[in-house]
Amino acid sequence: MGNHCKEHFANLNRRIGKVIDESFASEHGASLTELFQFSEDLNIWLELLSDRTDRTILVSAIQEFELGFQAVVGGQYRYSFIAQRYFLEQIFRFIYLSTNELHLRHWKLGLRDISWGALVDKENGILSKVFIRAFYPEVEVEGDHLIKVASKLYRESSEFIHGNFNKIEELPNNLEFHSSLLGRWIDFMETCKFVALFLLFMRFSKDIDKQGMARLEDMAKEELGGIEEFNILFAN
Amino acid sequence: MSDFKIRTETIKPTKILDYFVETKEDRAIIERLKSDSPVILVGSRGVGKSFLLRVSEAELKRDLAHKRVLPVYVSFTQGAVLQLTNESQFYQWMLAKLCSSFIRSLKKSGFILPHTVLSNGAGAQEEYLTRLVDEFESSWKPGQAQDVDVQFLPSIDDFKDAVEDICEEAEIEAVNFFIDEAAHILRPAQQRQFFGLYRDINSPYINCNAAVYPGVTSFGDYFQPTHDAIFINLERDITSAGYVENMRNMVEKQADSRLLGKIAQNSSNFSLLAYAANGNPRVLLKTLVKTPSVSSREVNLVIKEYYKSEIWEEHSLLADKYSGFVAFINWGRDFVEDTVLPDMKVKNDSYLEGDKKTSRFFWIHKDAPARIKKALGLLCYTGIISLHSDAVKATRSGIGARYSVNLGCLLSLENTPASTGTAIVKNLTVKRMTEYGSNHPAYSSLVTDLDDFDDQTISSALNKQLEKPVDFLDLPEWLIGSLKGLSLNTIKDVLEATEETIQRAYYVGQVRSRYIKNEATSAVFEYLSG
Repeated sequence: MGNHCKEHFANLNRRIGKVIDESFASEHGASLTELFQFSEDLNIWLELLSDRTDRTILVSAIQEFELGFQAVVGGQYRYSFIAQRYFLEQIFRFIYLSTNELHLRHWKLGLRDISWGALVDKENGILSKVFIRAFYPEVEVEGDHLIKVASKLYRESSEFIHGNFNKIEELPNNLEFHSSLLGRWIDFMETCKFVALFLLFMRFSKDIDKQGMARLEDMAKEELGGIEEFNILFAN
Repeated sequence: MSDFKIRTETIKPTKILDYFVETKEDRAIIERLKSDSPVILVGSRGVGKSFLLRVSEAELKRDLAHKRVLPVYVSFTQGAVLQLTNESQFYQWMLAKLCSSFIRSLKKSGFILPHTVLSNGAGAQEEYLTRLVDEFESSWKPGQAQDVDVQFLPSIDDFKDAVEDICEEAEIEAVNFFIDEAAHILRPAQQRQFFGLYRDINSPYINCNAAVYPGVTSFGDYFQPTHDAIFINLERDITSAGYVENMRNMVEKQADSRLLGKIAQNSSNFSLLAYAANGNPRVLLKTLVKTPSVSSREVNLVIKEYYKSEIWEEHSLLADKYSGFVAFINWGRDFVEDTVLPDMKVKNDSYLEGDKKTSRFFWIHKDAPARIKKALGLLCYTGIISLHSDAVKATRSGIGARYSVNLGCLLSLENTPASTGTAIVKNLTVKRMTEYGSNHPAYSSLVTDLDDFDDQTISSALNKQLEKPVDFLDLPEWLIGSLKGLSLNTIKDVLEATEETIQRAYYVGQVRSRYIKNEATSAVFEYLSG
């Protein structure tokens, strides 16, 4: 006698496979492929920071990006938005705790957490003037704007997570391809990518050696080239 | 995609403060508007006049309990399409409008009307005023112009006394009127009437503020611009340090995270769009919608397309609507496109090569023909040029007016504005200007019998517009279809139709018929007053 439960999930898996085909065959196919390159970018950062700081949270962020990607191409949209927002939170948390070992140790012990509000706090968060000034003062003026970008992004993705009625209505009841939701996730994740790279370059780029910088150059130019102050990294 | 509110009219007055990005200059203007000095705010379309009036109104409303200044916002948009048999009717129309808006504000603010001239039988009086305004408003309808009996409309002195009595009894310090779209650019007779009323109405209890377009210069016999009001030119200085930042903050109030991310990612491209918008928030939002990725390619394209053609659409539309003034309108465009801009481009190219300062200014001798000045006034109205200073000494001690040309138009002449535009903007100086003397050859091509805009030409132009089919209105197709289904085929038909007609013919409820009527009417006014 076959295992019906197993068969049920195998069936679902086949449907997911079909949605994956549809996702990549859709108008968003090229954007998906390009966005997945971000996984490699993040892994370059992971390598470059190996001797520098505790990378536990960065690893978890990368996992979240990849799991979210898997969810969205397979039609599990709600979970993809949860992963996308968690990715954003983890990158912020990683940057914040990279500057505070005591807090990091407390966090690992479960003694202390850090809220999203504190991470994007205008006065003391990681995009505040005083924070940016310590690592990359040339982009200090961008901090306020990035706070607005991140806060709006967080709010917009939260609508899919907390069950805002309009958004629940948008989410399909079955496992099926949904072009506009896929497009929305790509938009959200592209903005996440920009914010994440801004933070990584702002926090670490001035401490990375020439060889390391050579590996980051294309990434920086593609994603941050429009912000003149980042171009000085590669001026020579 | 970001859904921008590009017109103040589409923002609920109660939400206006949520959209407000405060700058030092705007704060100073708002404080003036809220004060007891009479202010006339001058600015071309889309620079934010209505917005500042609404912000002032909202702040006074918020602080009403302790400041005791009652704000009254009133728009004279419909005045542009009124066809009245004599000039003084416009004065009465305005007074009736002010009365009804004042009463409405009193009620909305929770004040109870005491017994005064205006409130004598309060309900009936308001109804009468509303009816009077309606009667005046419908006077544009050819063949239906009515002789309105104005015997019950208070005289200006009655009105002032009534306001004083009400203020004293309700413990209101003063009433601040904010009059939007106060006088139409092409209607000098209305301008004279408006400024007459403006002068008459100010009192210790009434502070009258108004927003007008540049080029509104017919003040009449009584109003003296230097004594009777403070004129504030709403011009955002694009070379000031915080300009781009302010425009960006304004966009951030409305844009979604995707667009905000793209702007942050391409901040220099955004800056160029902001400079090109020439201080006009509406234009910036319009161009931003066309550059979803804020990439250099998109910015180059939109600057070249929008500022070479679309910006002129509004100007050229004036020629379509007011064919009597076509000579003024067309000459203005030709002068800027064929003379001013090419002259500037050649000079700026050579300045930049020599590492010198650049220019966006030109100068017209004060003795240039009146018709030329009228044509320049129309260019100011649509924001193609702005009057920078009135009496500037040029070479050989000649005196004249200095104008600046819309920066977007100047940047549109560049092959790739995103790469070369910033240098032009960063090097601008007011000291360089191209001079056009009192008899410059370019003036001779403006041939017209008119020296000023006259009401007769306006009336015949309006009649022509009213005969046009409803397809000209900026309405969704289904609504145009609905109107035609009701045999409302011309703009005139729509304006004449009552809600009941629509309701009867349509078998629809009151809400829907009112919606159709409102949508159609506002599209008519939008079209006719532009």
